Amino acid sequence: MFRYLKLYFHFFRNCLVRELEFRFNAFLLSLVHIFWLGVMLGSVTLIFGQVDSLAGWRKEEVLILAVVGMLFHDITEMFFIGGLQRFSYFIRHGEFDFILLKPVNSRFMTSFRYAEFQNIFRIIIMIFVLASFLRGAGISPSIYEWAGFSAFFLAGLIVFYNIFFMVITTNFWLINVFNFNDIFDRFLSAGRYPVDIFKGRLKPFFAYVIPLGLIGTFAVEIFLGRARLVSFWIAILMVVVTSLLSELFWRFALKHYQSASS
Amino acid sequence: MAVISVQNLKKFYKVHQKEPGFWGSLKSLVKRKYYDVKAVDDISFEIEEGELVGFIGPNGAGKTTTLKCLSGLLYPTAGQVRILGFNPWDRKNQFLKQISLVMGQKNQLWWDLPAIETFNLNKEIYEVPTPQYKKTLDELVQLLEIEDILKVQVRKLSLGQRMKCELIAALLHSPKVLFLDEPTIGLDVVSQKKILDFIREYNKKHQATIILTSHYMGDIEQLCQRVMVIDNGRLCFDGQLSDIIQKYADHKLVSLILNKEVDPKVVAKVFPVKEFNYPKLVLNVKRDQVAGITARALEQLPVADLSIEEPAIEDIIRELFTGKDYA
Amino acid sequence: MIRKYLAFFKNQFSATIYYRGSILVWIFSNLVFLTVIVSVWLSANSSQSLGGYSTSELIGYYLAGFFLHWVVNWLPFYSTADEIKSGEIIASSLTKPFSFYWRKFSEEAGWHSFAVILGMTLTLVLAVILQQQQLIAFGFSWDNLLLAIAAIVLAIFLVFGFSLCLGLLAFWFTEVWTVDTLFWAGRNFLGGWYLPISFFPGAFQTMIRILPFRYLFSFPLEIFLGKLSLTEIVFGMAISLFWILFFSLLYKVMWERGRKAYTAFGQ
Repeated sequence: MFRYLKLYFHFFRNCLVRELEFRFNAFLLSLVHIFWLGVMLGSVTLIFGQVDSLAGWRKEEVLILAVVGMLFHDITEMFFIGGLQRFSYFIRHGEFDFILLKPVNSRFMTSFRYAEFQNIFRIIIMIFVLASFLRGAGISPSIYEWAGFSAFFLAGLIVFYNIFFMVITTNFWLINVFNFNDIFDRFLSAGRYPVDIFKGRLKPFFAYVIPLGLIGTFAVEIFLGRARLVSFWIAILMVVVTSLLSELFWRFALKHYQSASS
Repeated sequence: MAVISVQNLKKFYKVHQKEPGFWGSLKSLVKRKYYDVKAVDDISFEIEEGELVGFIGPNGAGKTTTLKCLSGLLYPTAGQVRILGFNPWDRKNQFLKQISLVMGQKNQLWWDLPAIETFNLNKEIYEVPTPQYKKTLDELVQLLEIEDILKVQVRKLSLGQRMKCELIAALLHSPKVLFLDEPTIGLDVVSQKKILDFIREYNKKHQATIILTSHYMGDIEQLCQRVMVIDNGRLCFDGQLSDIIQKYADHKLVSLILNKEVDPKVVAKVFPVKEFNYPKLVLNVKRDQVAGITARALEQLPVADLSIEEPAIEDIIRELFTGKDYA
Repeated sequence: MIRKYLAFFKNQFSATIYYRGSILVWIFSNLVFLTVIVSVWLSANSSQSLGGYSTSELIGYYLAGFFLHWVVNWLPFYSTADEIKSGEIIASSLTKPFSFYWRKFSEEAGWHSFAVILGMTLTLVLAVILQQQQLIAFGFSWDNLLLAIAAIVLAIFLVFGFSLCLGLLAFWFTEVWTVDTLFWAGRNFLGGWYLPISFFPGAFQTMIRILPFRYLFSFPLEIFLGKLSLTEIVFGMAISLFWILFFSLLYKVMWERGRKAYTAFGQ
């Protein structure tokens, strides 16, 4: 266990060293990130220039949700998106074999090999932005509310890590797919809107199959003082189900990989 | 007890066939035809500790597949494999820590980082104690003379330098069994020699059991006493290299470039001609006669250029099949 | 002469079929996007029209935009940057007797022919579904359609030229992906992908109409949905042509300079 933590810090360090090589690029990326934040908040503001409310959510509330959604995205990028994206490349170029040869859990290596440690700066900025938006909306959450928020946030990270991991596991069969990143992007962007926008038959899909509510809506609702009971059950259910499914699927896929050609 | 024990190993794949061209692509969208590929078809052998064995065979013969089965990457269709008492397929950490696989054109090194970073990472992955790691690293770096490039990004290294780093990365945890799959492919002659020398040294010093595959006869000649010839998934020969060379590669090819026309019939009377397409003349000469015939050729023929080559490995293997009944 | 470009076209078409898994992914992710967007607008409460669009018109905007997205994104950026980075470009283009520009164009054409057929089918299906739900309505006219098609052709050349120039930056910079991100930010935000440009307050309208981003995507849409007068259309086409010319010239300059810079380092 401790060993895996040590390994994880090694991955972090490696990434940092790698990123510092491209110092200028790292700086540029941070600028770009702020730029995207601006674009996103700008879009929301423009929408509310013509619209009064979105599924019952006011402008300040939607802005907070947008920031939380982006924070979620940033944290996924910091920890595991890089590894999942590159998996496609490794499989296609036969470098996955090297991961299999190592006396380390292959899922761990695949997921966390490319953590983006330098994202921490971005994330700190985002938390400040979030705090100021909360203050601007007159919301000051108690310690319990912060805890609840974090719990939902963490549940969301676990669930979506598992879901995305299952998606890239299909790469063992669908060798020619290289654009899983599109799916990740779309889901994470969709999570920046209140989950209430989905009506009718769409609602159960986006609540139970791809639980977008766990990206931002449920967590933010704690701050807004209107947390819903069902969100709690969804969180627990999805964490358990997705963890089990993704692990089983991965093991099944490994067996298949080792039976077929490389 | 043998370190490596393989019994009746079989590995078959299903591959689909795509017809070429435009309509072929459209057709493959809907229906696909599959056929069986017998990559490894009943191979058995045993290898003792410290042996340096060569697998040779033409491309697609099943060498790489066999190695992948031995290292646990592939699940055999049939047969039994035991390495250091383990079943490679189980991929137990204890097993993985004692083996290493180096693949000719694939890197395990992180592309954007200096090699030393990958080395340090491997130290953690294989849980090599720090003092042992330092000692091993120093020894390997000295042997391969790469002190200067340790801190250079891997993507900036030449192919030869990269291969040296790959080898080090693979040996940092002092594996007892080492699989080398085409380690010298694409390298220049100097790098090739350095790497082969290194492997020989390493084998002698650490008594590591090494399997080396190559389709260059030269690699094998330099390193291996024992060779296994694999063709079409089958083991055609398992024994001493000197036997093969004596029995099957008993001649060399002397290629001459002539700068004046000569009468082919006259030449054929005096020299053992294999083929003659002016200006290129190839002689098929028995090994012990090479010096003599070459000297005579230089004397009697208008030679502009000359080279002496081994017969192609494919020829040797072809000979192994046709006629010579070797067990 | 045409034959070699036809060969590129065919190759890319076949390659596209090979990558059908990726296509499935693309379809799926685009559908998710569309579903989200439609849901967002349907749940919007407003006392006024939304930037000059009614809700059903707005949904029409996104649906048409969905199709347009498939048609118009001729993006040689990725393959170009990759080829330069890996050195493959030397073997494939720098020493061969054909125009890199037209080779890339033919390849994009190959991929997009497939995409257009696919996109058209999907869009029609979605249009029918939405029509059934009475969610979609806008004023259709043949004139608008023809003019929109003209604008689409211009858009294709503009997107292609812009993207190609960005790709050529790889001759000088190792990491060009940042530029790509900025391109998408510009196109999505100022080009009408996230929301119609009419949502922008008046102060921005002139800037948006002059920058190339609008002509990458929004312009044909605006024409098709009947939101522009004839004068505005002509003005827009003129600006489109200006930017197309601009990027064509930029391409020539970058190609020449880039070639020299690249081979000078003996990759």
